[in-house]
Amino acid sequence: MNSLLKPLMVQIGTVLGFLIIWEIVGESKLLFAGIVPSVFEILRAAWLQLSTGSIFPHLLVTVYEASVGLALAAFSGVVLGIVLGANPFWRKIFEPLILYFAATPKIILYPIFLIILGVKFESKIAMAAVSGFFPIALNTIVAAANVNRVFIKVAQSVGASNFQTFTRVYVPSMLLPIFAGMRLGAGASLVGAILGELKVSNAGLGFIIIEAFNHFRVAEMYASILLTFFLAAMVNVVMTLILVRMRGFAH
Amino acid sequence: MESWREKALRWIFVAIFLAVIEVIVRLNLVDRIFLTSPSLIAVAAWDELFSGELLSLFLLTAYEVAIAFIVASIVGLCAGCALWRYSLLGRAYDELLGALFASPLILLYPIFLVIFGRGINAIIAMGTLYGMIPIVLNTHQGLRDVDQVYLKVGKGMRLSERQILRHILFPAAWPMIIGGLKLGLTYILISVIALEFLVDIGGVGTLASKGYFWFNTELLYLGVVGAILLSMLFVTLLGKASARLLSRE
Repeated sequence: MNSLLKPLMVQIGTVLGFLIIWEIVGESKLLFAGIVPSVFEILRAAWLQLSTGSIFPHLLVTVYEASVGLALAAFSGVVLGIVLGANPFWRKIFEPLILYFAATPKIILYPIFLIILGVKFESKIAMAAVSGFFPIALNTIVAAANVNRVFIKVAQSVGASNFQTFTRVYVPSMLLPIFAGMRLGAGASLVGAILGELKVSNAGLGFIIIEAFNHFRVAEMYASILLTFFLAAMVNVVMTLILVRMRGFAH
Repeated sequence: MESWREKALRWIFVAIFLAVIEVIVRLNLVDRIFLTSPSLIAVAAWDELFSGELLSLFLLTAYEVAIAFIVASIVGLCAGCALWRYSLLGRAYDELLGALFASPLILLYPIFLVIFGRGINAIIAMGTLYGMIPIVLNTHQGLRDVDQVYLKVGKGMRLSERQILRHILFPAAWPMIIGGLKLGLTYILISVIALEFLVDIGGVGTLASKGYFWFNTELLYLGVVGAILLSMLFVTLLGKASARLLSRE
């Protein structure tokens, strides 16, 4: 018990220490005057955004963009992943290209989406889709390639049709790794959509952050970033819980 | 290893893809504002190269990445060693850093802009933060997972603490540390280019942004292709370098 408690104390101490230093720097007004608002001021701004409900339309916009983007990413990623994973030849040819693209900053494609899709939701949905696509596709490739060949042979020898082999063998054994990819993809889609909003937009969480930044409403900017991080953490926690649940069923 | 045939086939597919785009644009099937052809992008690159701007943009990006990487490695390696030396801190900060790394840190960039000013310092700071975390975590893990038997042998041979560090601990942790440096450098490159594009400051990333705001489609695609090629080049070089560093041991 002690071995678990001690690190926890250090963690809590670190966060508290950070907040205290932040508060002192902010109050002293010697360093970074005006750009380090008091923690209470930030919390008040966050509360104001929540209690007046002014943040909710923007929250809705971002969640809408990210989830439509994630759905597109999941569909295309899973389809491509199964095609490449089940065909070793095509996998060898195309997987390196996908790996290369996965290691590039996806936001750089945003201006292309802007000129083709416009400055409204569609370009952010495209950003979310591209961002979420790679972790899902890469996980699905591995998942499809790792389906136990013996199971497939058995299914075929008892006379299962292609469709039955797919639904009874492929789907159950790929469900977990694909969802693990979706968990990563959900985070990436959310960040992709918000980054798009930060650059060019007229609604969404990224929009209110950059609006506050441009008008030098510093406390409001920090509050919006705080709430955005909270949303990202929530998405991560929910997806992790579902994953743990699924693992429980699988065993 | 992959055969030359697979490699050739891969690049043939890439060439076909580019050729299709070229034909689509040449036949005016889409508006030139939306899509431009590879040959026109190449012409734009040639022009930019001689006006001198392209090269300086690439150098600026390389400079930002280099500074961020140097700072991140020094701080990261020291912090990783400290976390290993004091295991209570190690257990506490491993989790904190892991949580930080999983969070969308890039969204903090407006804060970096207010604190470091709207310039390349903010970009370097963001890159440093991103690159540092995997270096710390991997250095710590590498040192921690060194087989205890090696250390016992070293003590049995009456090596001093420094000799144990130099001849046993670091060589054993080396592959893990290299992995951390590699990951750190990749994250630095991604965050630097992304930030250059987002705030319109610095090197290669700004090209695409300028192209969009000036409605210069060739410049826009040049920026996009330049950033992607730079990342690819970088990933390839990094793979080669780390393979060489590891094989020397």
